[in-house]
Amino acid sequence: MVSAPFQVSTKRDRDIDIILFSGRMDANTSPEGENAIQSLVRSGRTKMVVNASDLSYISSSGLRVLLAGLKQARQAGGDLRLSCLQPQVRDVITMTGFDRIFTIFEQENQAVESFFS
Amino acid sequence: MTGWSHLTLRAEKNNLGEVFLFLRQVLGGAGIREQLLPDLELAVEEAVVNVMTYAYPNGEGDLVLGVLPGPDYVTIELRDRGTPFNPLLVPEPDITSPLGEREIGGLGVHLIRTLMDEVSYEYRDGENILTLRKRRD
Repeated sequence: MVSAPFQVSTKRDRDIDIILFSGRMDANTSPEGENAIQSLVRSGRTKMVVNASDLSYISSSGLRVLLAGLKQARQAGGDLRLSCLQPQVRDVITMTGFDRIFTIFEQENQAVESFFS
Repeated sequence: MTGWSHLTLRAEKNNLGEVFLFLRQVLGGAGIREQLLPDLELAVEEAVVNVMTYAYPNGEGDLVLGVLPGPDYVTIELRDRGTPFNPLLVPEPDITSPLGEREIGGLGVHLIRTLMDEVSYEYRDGENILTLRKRRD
């Protein structure tokens, strides 16, 4: 759906924050995703998992948000890990070489557990 | 025969939804494969954002988006009357560099080049004209 709104929600599993993105993360909507990540980072919560199971589209604006979050998280000793990538999002991440710098999991729970292993 | 369809809009981010809707309507109506739409949408978004960022750095201006679903290729043309900006001169980003050296700049143009079969630019009569072509098959 072209008009699928972009939505963000967050939940917590132990000390891991899970950010659920859904809809389309484009230049117009990605600031909303940025706010979600930045508010976690600002409160010192830098172990993050993005669940993108309902994210159907991402552009370079969305990638910028993820990259900024990743850099900040790692600088603070945390990480931002990705999970449940759908085809368009996976393709864009591969085309831009982001698959080399992000740790990516098939399932959200795998990404969460990876922080404890 | 299907000819050109055009959309004129202010080059503002909150008009992106209108751009996507226009693309879907024109390309869907022309029987373009559904699988091509995400690539075309992404290339067009990146091109439109470049116009907003570089052609109109100090405020918004108008952008004309043209779409021609030809027999072999979909041709998309973006025209604006902003600052001359040739996106094809943007250096290719190093997509293999480590995190600390990653720059986000240039990724949009990299995506356009990767997704499209042909990309050309000219500045003519006060207009930036970017043309994107993608094979239909």
